[in-house]
Amino acid sequence: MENELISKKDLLELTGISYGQLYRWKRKMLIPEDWFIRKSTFTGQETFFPKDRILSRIQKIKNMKNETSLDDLADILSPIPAEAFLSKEDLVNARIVSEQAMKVFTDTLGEPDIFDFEKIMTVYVLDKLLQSGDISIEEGRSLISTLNEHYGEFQGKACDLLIVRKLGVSICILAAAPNQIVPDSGSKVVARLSLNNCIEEMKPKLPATQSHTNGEL
Amino acid sequence: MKNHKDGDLKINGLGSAGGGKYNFVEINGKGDISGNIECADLEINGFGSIEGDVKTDTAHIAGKSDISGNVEARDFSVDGVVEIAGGVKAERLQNHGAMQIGRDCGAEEFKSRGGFAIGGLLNSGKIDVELYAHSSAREIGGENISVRQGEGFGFKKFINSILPGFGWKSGLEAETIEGDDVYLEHTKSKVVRGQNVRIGPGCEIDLVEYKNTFEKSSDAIVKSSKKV
Repeated sequence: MENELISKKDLLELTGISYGQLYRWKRKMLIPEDWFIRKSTFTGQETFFPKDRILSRIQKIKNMKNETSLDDLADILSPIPAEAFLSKEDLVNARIVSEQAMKVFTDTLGEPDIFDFEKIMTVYVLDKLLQSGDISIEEGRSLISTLNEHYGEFQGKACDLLIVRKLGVSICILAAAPNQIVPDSGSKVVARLSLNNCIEEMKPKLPATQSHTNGEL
Repeated sequence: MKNHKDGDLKINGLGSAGGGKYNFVEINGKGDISGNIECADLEINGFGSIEGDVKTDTAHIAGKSDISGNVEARDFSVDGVVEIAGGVKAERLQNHGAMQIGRDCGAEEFKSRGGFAIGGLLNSGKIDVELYAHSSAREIGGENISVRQGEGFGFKKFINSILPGFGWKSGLEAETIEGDDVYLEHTKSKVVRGQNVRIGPGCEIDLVEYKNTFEKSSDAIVKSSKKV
């Protein structure tokens, strides 16, 4: 987790963009809501951003806005599901997810004929957490069913996935982001992922969606 | 969004209905809708209450309405009193009445000829406000921001002078206002930032930060200003 923040003023100075541009990009959802962090300072409330993420995002927008319209850019960057229908083989062969993660998924939910965006995201998130060793396969199963049953309720809004353990029992939580979540001291948050970040990370990997951005994002 | 397979929902007189997908939703009289609605056109004349989110192509609210969720519309116009607990997203928003929004309001074009209270950020490419009643937003941001006193302001001043405490306090209040081209009248704000900033009569601004130009009317109070 990067903790360094940059103030709005410094950001504009550094990147050379105007307030109008920043607000327009926010409206077009090119910059996620939860990157705008309001803090009290001696001049009153000021807005800060996670420095690394906002700088790389603005660079991306600047690079791409000449060829791509803002609305298309928003589609690429937004957490709203892209049109994606892939088979199990497509996903594994394109190395979007690992075979192991796919197996855990199909063992849990059975094998769907086709993976839509939500399912792809579920396997992707599962794969990510299994690969990093943060969660066990059992926890992976609870993650799959949680996302399967409840992710739709967020309707593309920013949300975080948390895995909390206490006394060897683990709970999977979906929470609207940004939110501070404090478990009791006996429990431990073993994983916390912003699903929006995962989606952003994953979208360019999917074949046939905005192929010209491959490798760029 | 237009889908002719979806039916119309019309409440004339007194009635209630559930949410859902409709083509045309009209309330004349008093109507309660419980649940989210998705429709092509929404028209409320009289009293309307919607317990849920609204997603529509056009929405026109005359009369008085309460919406407990968020509103998403291409064209949104208000000619009465509307209270929205959530946020609003629109291409074009026109307010000729009194509009209260609990959270953020984003619109490519925002035009107000009445009063508004926005609990979050008012974010718009073109903010065109003529003040006819006290208006406020926590923050205002956008490209072109213009806030002027509405005509008939003098009449209100007169009313205020003979009936002090009548509650007619016109003006705009916002913690921060940030934009490219900013023109303000009768506005109270802690910070105004922009490329080109013009502060007109009746303003009380603590700090102005500008990049290119700054002008101040002699009837305005600006505690400090600096070029950044």
